[in-house]
Amino acid sequence: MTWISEQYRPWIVYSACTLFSVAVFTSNLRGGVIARKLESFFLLVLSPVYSVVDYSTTKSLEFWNNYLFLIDLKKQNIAMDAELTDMKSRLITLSEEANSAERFREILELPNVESFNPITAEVVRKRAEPWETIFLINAGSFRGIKPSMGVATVDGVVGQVIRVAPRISKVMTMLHPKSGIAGMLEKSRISGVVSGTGHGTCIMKFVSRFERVVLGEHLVTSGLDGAFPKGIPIGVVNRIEKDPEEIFQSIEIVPFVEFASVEDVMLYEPTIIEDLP
Amino acid sequence: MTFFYRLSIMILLLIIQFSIIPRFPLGAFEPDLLLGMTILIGLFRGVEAGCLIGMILGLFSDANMGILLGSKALCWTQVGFAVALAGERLMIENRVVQTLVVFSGCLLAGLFQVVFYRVSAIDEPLWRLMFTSLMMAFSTSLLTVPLAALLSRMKLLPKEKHA
Repeated sequence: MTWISEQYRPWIVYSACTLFSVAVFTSNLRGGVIARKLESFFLLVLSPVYSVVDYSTTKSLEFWNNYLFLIDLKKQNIAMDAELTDMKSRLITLSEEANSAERFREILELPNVESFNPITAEVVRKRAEPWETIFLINAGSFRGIKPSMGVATVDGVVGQVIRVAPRISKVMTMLHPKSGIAGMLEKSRISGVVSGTGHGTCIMKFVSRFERVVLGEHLVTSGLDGAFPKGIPIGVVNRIEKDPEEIFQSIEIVPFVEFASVEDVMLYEPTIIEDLP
Repeated sequence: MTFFYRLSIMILLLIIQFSIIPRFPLGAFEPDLLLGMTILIGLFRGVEAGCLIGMILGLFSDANMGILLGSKALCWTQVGFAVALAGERLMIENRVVQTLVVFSGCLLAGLFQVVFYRVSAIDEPLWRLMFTSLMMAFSTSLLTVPLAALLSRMKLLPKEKHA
């Protein structure tokens, strides 16, 4: 009996490891709970691994910036004061415009279907291969992050959260072929779904070839997917291809966001969801 | 005591792979220490250790930066198995042989990964994926000797076999 188990043990271990990996992989393809939990567990284990180096780097930089790098502080202070004054005047103008918009919304009786609470986070890891661009951010379920939440920077849309651990989350950028973000052309108001090509650009899907799309037109979020508020910039139309045999036209989009240099991101947490009549 | 020693070295390797190496702009030339470790353990410790370590480290690697958990675990299990079988027929004490095995193992992992990219409908040109794998295999194989020395200190490689 011992002889048999000794002889076959490597094969049993090999088969077990292969079967387990296949089970996890296929569970993942079906969006299974086991794969999600397992990945969250591994991310939880890896969180200290990420933070140990980040913490020491941040502290060193803080020390450098706060104590050793104060040469141009006065000059910076004057420049920031001027900028602050400018911002204050802009804020007054914008709040006036916001009040006007709110009054018009009330007049038109548009329902406030969904609003978003922004959560900021920092990118702690990036994988920037053109066919698989993944970010890890330093916010997780403890800060209210949930899968499918939208992620953006001041320049525009970055992607969506796909996995969440207590202190860390994984973001799939819109450059990935499996991504899908509800988009809308800014002027013509034509809607579609934006996903990555795997070559550093995106395409807008499901736009009829009879629709007139203009090169250079800006694309924004339509808010229909519930992950982003309406109007966040996505990119610009770079190329349009129409095949007479296809129902939909192919629209190539160049994203506004420079993915290689993303450092801080904003996540959108839905706060009000009212039932539509 | 040995367990904690091994664990601390493992954590150190994870920190180097996931936290320190990505800080350098190496691009496709980024080495994969965990894959190198899987190959060396498979080579010296046989099928069981190779498969188990391949699966566990593959899962860590998938969780770190992969979209589909399990893809690297499956690839690296196969690599651990293949390398362990090859190790029975090779002079594994020789450092050149170790380096060549690490290089071939990384290329094999790259080939498996290409298959998974195809399954995941990522239609990246084959040459680019293979070029990335080739560069990774090259950089990882350059680290074979220090990695083998580290694993030997962890008592994960038998001393009598490791020259």
